[in-house]
Amino acid sequence: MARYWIADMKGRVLGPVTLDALHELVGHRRLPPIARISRDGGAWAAADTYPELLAVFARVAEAQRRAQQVQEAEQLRLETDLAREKPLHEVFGVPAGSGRDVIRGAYFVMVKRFHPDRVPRDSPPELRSAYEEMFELLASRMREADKLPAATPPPAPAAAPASAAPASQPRSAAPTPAPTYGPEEFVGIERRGEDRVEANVRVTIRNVAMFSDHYLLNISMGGVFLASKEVLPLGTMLDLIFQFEGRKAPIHAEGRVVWENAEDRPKQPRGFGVKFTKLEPEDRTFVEDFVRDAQARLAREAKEKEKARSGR
Amino acid sequence: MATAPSASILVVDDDRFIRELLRRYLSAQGHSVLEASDGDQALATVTSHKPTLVLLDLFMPHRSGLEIIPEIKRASPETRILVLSSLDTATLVDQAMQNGASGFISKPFHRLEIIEAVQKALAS
Repeated sequence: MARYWIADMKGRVLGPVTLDALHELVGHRRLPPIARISRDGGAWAAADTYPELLAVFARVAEAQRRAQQVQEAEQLRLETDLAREKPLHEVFGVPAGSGRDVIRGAYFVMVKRFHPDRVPRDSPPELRSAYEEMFELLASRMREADKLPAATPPPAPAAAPASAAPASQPRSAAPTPAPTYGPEEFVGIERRGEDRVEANVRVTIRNVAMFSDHYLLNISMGGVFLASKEVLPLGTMLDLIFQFEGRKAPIHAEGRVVWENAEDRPKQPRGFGVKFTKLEPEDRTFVEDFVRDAQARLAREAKEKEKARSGR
Repeated sequence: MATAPSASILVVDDDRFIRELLRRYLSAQGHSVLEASDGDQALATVTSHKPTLVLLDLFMPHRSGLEIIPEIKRASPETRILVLSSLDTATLVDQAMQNGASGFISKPFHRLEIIEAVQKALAS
């Protein structure tokens, strides 16, 4: 069976994988844009070198994709409404009477699909909000399950000594905050740089033991890079206020420091990258439109430059 | 679930933020944590340190996590491997498990999920 290695723009490699596995990854929108492909993991070629892969990476027509996404949103809304009324074990597909740990295991398997980081950036708003509703519903049902005993009670009559009761579940010695299962508690998918554009926007950070003002260096649909002499520790949670030129109302957002650049470089000065963890839907739409407009402007300018150069 | 005794755990991910976060979760549980940022570094660390457990990303520079799972098992047969990846389609999960992984956690992950999966992997 033919095997392939694929590499993205950042040089990350996956392989060996079969043609079927590639079909599945693309179909589930799990892959970033692919830059190179190899048949042996050593010799690499452009992604369109292998005719058998053209169909795998062919883009679905825009109208068809949009219709599929609207249909998916409707289906999801129905499922969310049903899950509101069902008993916990039915929502999470576990045996009746299951304890918290069993439910939590099933919850983690189920909830990932609906995490905001999993929703493709170009999804229509109705699909995005359908995902958000299902994610929040599952989180609230999980908070409900957190009140149950940790372990599933044994089916046999209680002949065991008192010391073996489920309440004796060991607990971690270190005090940790109770989980809320909000999207910001899940980490692992960072899409930095994919759609970043330069911008000049005033940003105020107000919860790092000081108020600090920055002029934003660049922004993407998922977060911002802030030039700063002070580099904040990874994971620091921030409250951010953006003041965009031409917009009266400021935008409030919450974010987490997900990367840092401790050295000054010509193209990337010292500073840190923040991923948005909370942004109101209308503000998210504004940021997305801002980024899209800037990208379109850049593309137009590049085209005009190219035209001018070739016309010389 | 009983708390597993402290273990040596290698975290392999090209994203420093993820490594830092996992280090924090695992150190708080009393484990000693090693780090590698790609497949080659991971193999070298497994060979020299023989960690009890490896938390392994799949999509990384130079060499794929998928490719090095059998090599980790050859270099240190007792080492258990938990894959952490957003590439969680059925075929890829099967392939990782058949190659020798003992578990697969989809990204994005939750702190509690990591703690429970690590405890389970160490107790098995």
